[in-house]
Amino acid sequence: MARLYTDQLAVGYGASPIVKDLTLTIPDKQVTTIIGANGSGKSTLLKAMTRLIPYTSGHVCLDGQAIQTEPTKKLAQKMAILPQAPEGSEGLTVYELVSYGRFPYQSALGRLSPHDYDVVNWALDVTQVSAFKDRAIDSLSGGQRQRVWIAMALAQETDIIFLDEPTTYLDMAHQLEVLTLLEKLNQEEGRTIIMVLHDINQAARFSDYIVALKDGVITKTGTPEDILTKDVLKAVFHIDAVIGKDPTNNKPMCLTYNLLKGDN
Amino acid sequence: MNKQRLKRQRWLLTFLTLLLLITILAAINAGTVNIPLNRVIQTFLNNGSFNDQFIIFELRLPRIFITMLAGMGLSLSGAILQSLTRNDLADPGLIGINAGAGVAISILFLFIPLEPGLFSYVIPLVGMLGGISTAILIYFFSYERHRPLKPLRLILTGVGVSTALSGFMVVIISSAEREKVDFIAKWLAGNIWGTDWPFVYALLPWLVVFVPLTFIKAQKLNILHLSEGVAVGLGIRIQQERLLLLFSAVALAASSVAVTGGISFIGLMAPHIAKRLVGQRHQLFLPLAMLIGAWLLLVADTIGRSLIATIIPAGIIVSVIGAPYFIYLLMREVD
Repeated sequence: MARLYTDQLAVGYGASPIVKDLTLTIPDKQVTTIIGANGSGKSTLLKAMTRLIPYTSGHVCLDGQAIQTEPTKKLAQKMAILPQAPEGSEGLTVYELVSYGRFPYQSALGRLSPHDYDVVNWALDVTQVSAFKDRAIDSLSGGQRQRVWIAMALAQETDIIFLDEPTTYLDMAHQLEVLTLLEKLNQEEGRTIIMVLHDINQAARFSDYIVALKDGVITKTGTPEDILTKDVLKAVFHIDAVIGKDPTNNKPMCLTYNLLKGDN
Repeated sequence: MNKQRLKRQRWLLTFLTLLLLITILAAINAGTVNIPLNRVIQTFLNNGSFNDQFIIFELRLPRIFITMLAGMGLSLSGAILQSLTRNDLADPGLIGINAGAGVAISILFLFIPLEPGLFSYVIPLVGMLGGISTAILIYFFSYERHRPLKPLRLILTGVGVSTALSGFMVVIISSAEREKVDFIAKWLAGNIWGTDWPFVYALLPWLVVFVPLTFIKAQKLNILHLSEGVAVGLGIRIQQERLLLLFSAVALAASSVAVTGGISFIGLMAPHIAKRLVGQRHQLFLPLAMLIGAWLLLVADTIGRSLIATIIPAGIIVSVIGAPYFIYLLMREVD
């Protein structure tokens, strides 16, 4: 039995909810990526699974308990989340921000225990930001800054990490840097990673499991080979895709695509 | 933690404490009657003249204490509001707490006869009631069903409510007697008026409760200052903590302005300067912000008392410094 699953989940009010009757099991210790067009509900699904927004019916269960009934601090010891384009780091040093990741374990006064220090230092090392741990975050580049935020999420010491479009606003090299870091965390540390990505080729290259979403409903779930097919991409993105293989790693990839003509 | 910043904070705390002590001496010394330093020392050693003793212990010292306490309360309140709204432009005066306290105090003063002895203790309470009612009003107006509270919306609603209350104030005043209006006009200008020891005793308990409460919440303020998604992900109960901290901010500001009059900009400037010096971590900058706030208001009041024969309200002096600072911040925000 997987630790995390949703059961007939619905999110959003009114006649047309954003996510409808969604049942999904997240495989443990794997990288799962949610893809879909704009407005498909992929970000909403991620937010509902991490209690950032409430769901209207159904369940999100972690370790057999609905997340809505679990104390939020307790949940923060099990799952970490990095929202899209996080803010509020102005005026902080790298070390200060990463140390906030220890909040779920701290008493009111916010003192750090020796174990807290160890975890923070480990998070700084593994994301390769320890070299500038005393620098102001304002002075860092976009890629460095994103690594610092990931370090903060890692300092939370959770088995499960959610990321909402972690590569947004980054250039190509920095995008790859972030994704390989996540890959490493999954492979070496066995962390379960669930993220939303825009780029289907990145999704195919870095995921074990892909969830394709359209209008708040799952179109198909499966391995990259299952999802990167002409039919699925047609259904999800409404495109006419040409699928090939990445010569460096044999993963499927979308070589090029055209807009579908006629039938819509 | 960050040793460099901690070291700088310790150094600045010492420096500001010394600066504050020197300013206190200057404040005892200055005023319509100048008391030279040696006579001040003699008076403290219990060798002063009756006249000097009266001026120092009954007039100047309580005023100095009130000013410093209010400066601390206002700057702490501003610091909380700035972190909750994630906006450096937040200030208790700006978002209508002062106006709310002002309306309540004016109504009390104009329509409810009170014994002078009771007056000093009732006024912080009434100011606070006015402030809290205003805060509830602002919260109510900026609340949207099924949506998280947007901090910027809170500020804009506050500015609107503040303007409306100022209008209401004009209506109340226009129907009142002339000498009573005089008091209210001075209150609005931020003339430190509660200058007897009872006002110190009336204000002190509020600080004794809400200052430690805020410091206990320092780590939560750190987390609340981050994006809402990050804060929830870290496991903070966002709505409860926000409400409690909002309440402390209102209590600190309203009880302070109740005895000092409507003073703005201290809550804006002091936290901002402190953050520029030691960064955004509340454990480091809150104590500095309090000392800076106390010092700024004390300097403003001392200048106001000694510049010309009549007293210039501290609120006006603060505004003369604070308004350009506010514009500077605003322009930086636009860039």
